[in-house]
Amino acid sequence: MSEVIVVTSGKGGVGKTTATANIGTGLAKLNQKTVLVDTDIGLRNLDVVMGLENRIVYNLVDVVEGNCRLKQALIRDKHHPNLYLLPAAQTKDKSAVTPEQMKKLAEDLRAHFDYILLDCPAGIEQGFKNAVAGADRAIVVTTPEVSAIRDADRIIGLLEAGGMKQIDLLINRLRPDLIRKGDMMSVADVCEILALSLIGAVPDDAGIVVSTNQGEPLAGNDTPSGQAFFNIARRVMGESVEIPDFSGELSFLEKMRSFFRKG
Amino acid sequence: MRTHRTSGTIAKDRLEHMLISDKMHVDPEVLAQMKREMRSLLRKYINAEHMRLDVQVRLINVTEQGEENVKTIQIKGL
Repeated sequence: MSEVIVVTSGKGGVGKTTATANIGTGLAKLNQKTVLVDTDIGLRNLDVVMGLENRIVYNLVDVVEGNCRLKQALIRDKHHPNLYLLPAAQTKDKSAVTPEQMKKLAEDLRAHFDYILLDCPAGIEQGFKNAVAGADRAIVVTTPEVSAIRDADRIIGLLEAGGMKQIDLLINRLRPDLIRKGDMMSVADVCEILALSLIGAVPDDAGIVVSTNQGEPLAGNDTPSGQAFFNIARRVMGESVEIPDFSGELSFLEKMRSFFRKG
Repeated sequence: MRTHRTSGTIAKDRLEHMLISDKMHVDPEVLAQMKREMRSLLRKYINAEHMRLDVQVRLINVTEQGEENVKTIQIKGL
């Protein structure tokens, strides 16, 4: 039975596309036939993060408008034979497709894939409505910042009002050093505020920058974020894997500092 | 004995205030005033010198069809 998952956030720049690329890569490594759909029409980026930007012939709008067959628009990943990308159109805008067309597209993809991941655009307008229309479940991405969490709360409200069956939280870009100093909200703080089941916590990691530069997702490699994303893919499949909270033990120097601060 | 509030705590408090304000459709300043009044009202009757008071408000929207839409709001640390 296949599952359609929308990756969304409200606020832009929190890591939706990175999360989609890496969770998808993780699922493919776990032998799941997976397709990533870029629903950000007019501002496509998932192709670049996946390193597949030079292989695009047809796109999502071509499929929806019937200019090509679904299979013609799907691009196979460079390294994972069971991972595919359906890119967004770059020259159209969000009004080029309707929620009904997205539902139909998701249904058509179900016949061929175990997991269908939809990379949602930022905002709460047409693009968001299109992306969530055909989804069974949602992963809400946020960072431990006031603005991102506020937008995540709004998105969660909209998803619940729209009857989304399962909504999970992914906290991205955690900085253990700042959390230890009390200068960043912890995983527990964010979970308490948003009251959502946590599917993963990803540390801020230079590896992500390098991976995006190279166009090769890092899920599964031995960087901290690579491990975190791979574990999220396992949790998406229903496996129970412990989530570290990235606040860790204080170093000696930090203990001394916090001792003097209290005094 | 809170001499030093970390910026993480400040962020969390601001965020909670903001989200309650959004959900109740009450301006943040008005909400702050409301919290102060709730605090003094509760503490007038409850001997809560060494207690933290949390209040849960349920906003129940009843439509003509009799359906209930419930929003639960936690106001902490009064």
